[in-house]
Amino acid sequence: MRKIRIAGLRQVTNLSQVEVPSLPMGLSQMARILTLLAENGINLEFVVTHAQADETMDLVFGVQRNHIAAALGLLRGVREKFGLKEVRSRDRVGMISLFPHGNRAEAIGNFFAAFQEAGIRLVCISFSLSAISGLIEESLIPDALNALSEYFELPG
Amino acid sequence: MAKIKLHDIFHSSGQALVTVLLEERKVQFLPSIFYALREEGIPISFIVQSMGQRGDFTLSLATAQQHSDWVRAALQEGLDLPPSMTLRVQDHLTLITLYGPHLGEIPGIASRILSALVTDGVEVLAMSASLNSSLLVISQKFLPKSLRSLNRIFEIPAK
Repeated sequence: MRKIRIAGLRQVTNLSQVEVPSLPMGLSQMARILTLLAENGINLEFVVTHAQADETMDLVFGVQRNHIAAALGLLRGVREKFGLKEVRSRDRVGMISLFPHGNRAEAIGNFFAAFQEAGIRLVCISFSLSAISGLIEESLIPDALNALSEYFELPG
Repeated sequence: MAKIKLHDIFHSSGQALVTVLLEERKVQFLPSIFYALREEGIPISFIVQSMGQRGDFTLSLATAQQHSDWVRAALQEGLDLPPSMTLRVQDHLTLITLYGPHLGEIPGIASRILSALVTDGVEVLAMSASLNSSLLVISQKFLPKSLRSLNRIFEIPAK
């Protein structure tokens, strides 16, 4: 393992995660779900969707914790109408974003290694142009930052 | 509805999306697989992971199509997956990256993206939106249609 120089780390706390699994392939239900939330002023911190082995798609998104009750209320209210099999939530989660330079594969390897060494489960990973972000139990953020500091070199 | 100003939009075709279902105990093998990808100079252009109710994980990553066999083999061997284990590779894909604004600044960005694409019949195979960008993995054949859809909702700077 080589310690990698990165541009920075960012943490966001007070999040909740919502998971809507087993949506049919295609976007119509997903678009309806996200539109419903947007129309009700619920902003999303991240959105991840990808196909599962059974040819369905999972939708995972994060909201500020003070919006979780409203988000779940809205989704459970339309569960039958939208044909949602299930709506799950995970509370007290936080997101750590790592901003790498250069080789993404190496940074991703170290990213996984750091969380494993700390015994922290990554419940979701999202990706952006500049960062890879992991969602973890919020109380474990200090441990995660310690672990990441063993694998990454922060500027300054 | 006013268009949302983007900093930029770019796309990269010739991508492959590799999706694997992982038992939690296998996650420990991921670092060495990514180190192997680094050694081979294989770029990762997209990665997302989500956790199922039984504690298993679904990992999807995109790479250039010419590397997909290598990535598939690395995952198959590195994770010691039996041949029957689900590991799916989809190719002839395009990764579209929408850069800016920050997701937290303007509510409804993801909803507008998906609504515009669904209206035009574009299928999105994977999406990750966070911080200052939204990444979409689509079939290459949908690229012109996707760009037209996205142009309807975003103000994209001329190049």
